[in-house]
Amino acid sequence: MTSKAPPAKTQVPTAPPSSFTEVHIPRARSRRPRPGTKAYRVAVHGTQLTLLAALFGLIELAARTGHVSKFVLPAPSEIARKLPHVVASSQFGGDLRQSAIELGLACIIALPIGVIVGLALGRWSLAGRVLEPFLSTLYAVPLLVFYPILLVMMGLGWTPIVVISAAAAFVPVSMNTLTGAKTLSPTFRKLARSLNCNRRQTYLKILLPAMVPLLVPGIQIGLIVALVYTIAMEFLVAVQGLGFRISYSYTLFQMVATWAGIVIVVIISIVLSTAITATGRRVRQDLD
Amino acid sequence: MATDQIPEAQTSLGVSLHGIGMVFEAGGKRTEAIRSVSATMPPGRFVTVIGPSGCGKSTLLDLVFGLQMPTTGYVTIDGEPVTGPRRDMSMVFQEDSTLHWRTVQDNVAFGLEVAGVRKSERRRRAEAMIKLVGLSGFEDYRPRQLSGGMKQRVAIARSLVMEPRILLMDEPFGALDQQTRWRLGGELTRIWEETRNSVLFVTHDIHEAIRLSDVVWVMSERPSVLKTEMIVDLPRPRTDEVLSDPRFTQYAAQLWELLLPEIDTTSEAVSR
Ligand SMILES: Nc1ncnc2c1ncn2[C@@H]1O[C@H](COP(=O)(O)OP(=O)(O)O)[C@@H](O)[C@H]1O
Ligand SMILES: [Mg+2]
Repeated sequence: MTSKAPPAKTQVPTAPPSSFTEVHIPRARSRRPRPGTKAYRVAVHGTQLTLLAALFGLIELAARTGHVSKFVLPAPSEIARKLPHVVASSQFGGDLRQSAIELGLACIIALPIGVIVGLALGRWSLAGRVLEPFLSTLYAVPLLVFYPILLVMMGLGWTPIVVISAAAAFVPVSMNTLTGAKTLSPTFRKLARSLNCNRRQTYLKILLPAMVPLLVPGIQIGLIVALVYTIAMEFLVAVQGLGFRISYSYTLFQMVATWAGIVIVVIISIVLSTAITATGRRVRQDLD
Repeated sequence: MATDQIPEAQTSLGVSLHGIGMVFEAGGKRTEAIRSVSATMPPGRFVTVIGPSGCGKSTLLDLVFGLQMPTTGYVTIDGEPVTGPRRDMSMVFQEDSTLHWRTVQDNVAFGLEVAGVRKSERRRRAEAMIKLVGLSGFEDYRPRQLSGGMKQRVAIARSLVMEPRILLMDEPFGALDQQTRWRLGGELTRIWEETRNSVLFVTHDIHEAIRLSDVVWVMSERPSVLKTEMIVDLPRPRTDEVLSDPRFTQYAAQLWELLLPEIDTTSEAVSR
């Protein structure tokens, strides 16, 4: 074996006897798709869909075999059958409109005020230094705890919902705007002064567009926070709205209707946040 | 003197510095940036400020422009005291100051837009200026698609399009590699020899100072004073051949000699 024809393995070039060891890496062996290719995307989304289907299948099975009580979780197929009825019901349009109005009002109030306060705090650095800790603390406070007080002040209805949602959305918007204002290159301000820009031109034509990369994520978070608070507050104080409908169905022990409401809210949230993210990306691409 | 033969542009303005000094007080720290500088910049001349880093060159430009006010002394332009940025002055910054969300065309026209110039005229003037700085064909590009040198061309065009009577330039080529820097310097010379406005140009590059200027102001280290005013007597139009002029080498040696004692102690003098 030693003196005769060399064994096959010596055909493989061996590492030279130096410290620079050549490592033989097998290439293109893996049949796993590479990131960025179409096959990769298909694999990712396919797996995600399979996981979802498996989850629903399991729940369906558990519900049908009675492993999970009907009063906790009805079978998904039953919820799916109920959905069209809920959507077609006379209340649904009113609920959707109510929630949309509350969310819209909260955003219309919170976004401009958040941006303006952020800019003002960035402009007057002393005020910024004083108030920034308050803002960032407010971030961590579940503003929902103030609802009894607002309820006493404003009564049952949409006002306390809008107030709390707007306050909650205001925090990330103003904080991100402040961060943007502080991290902005001083050259932009110098340029504005050197070209004799008035205040309006300075903000609208230079500072705000320059801050877009930080403004957009703040607004995205603000919108999503407003959505969360609107639905949550509707559970507590509303007489109409998507959140109210869920809690109302639940108090009547209509579990299928409750779940149908939950599914609708989940779908609307997903659609909204996807739209917000996509719009944000487009705006940033246009302005960056 | 050859500098006397330079035709004085009627529209350019002369700048006088009357014993200006600048002390910064920030966070309990006192920095005397400029002790006292008195000098006169004749109209239609290219004046360069050279000095060790941190000696107050940028501050000096800010004071001339009126972006800041001196703590002592004052600046006059054609006899009028400076109180703030004037419309007939324009500044080019060292850092990239292009607006990254605007095209080259809209960047160059920006000052005109702010000043309320009509769109058609904006377009015409910006296009002419884009051509002058050699950016034709890039009108619709965004700054992120341009090199550092091209971005500075945009910034220069944005200043020139305002037809300033005084142009202030704070190390506009400071962030560029040497070849790009030299080439842009050549183009600036060519453009300036056409426009003949007054230019106050800051650099720390000795060769750049000589190739561009009629006069070089040499600053000392901080707290700075104007150490020497050196007149650069080299023929115009100044092409790249200026490099082989024996006087160029002499001026460079002279400037080195003036600056060397300033450079090695700069780091010692901080504040008091
Ligand atoms: N706004 C300011 N506050 C405090 N110190 C400053 C300020 N601007 C400049 N300085 C100080 O003044 C000195 C001169 O700065 P600068 O004019 O930028 O120098 P140069 O442009 O020559 O490098 C430096 O020591 C700098 O730290
Ligand atoms: Mg400087």
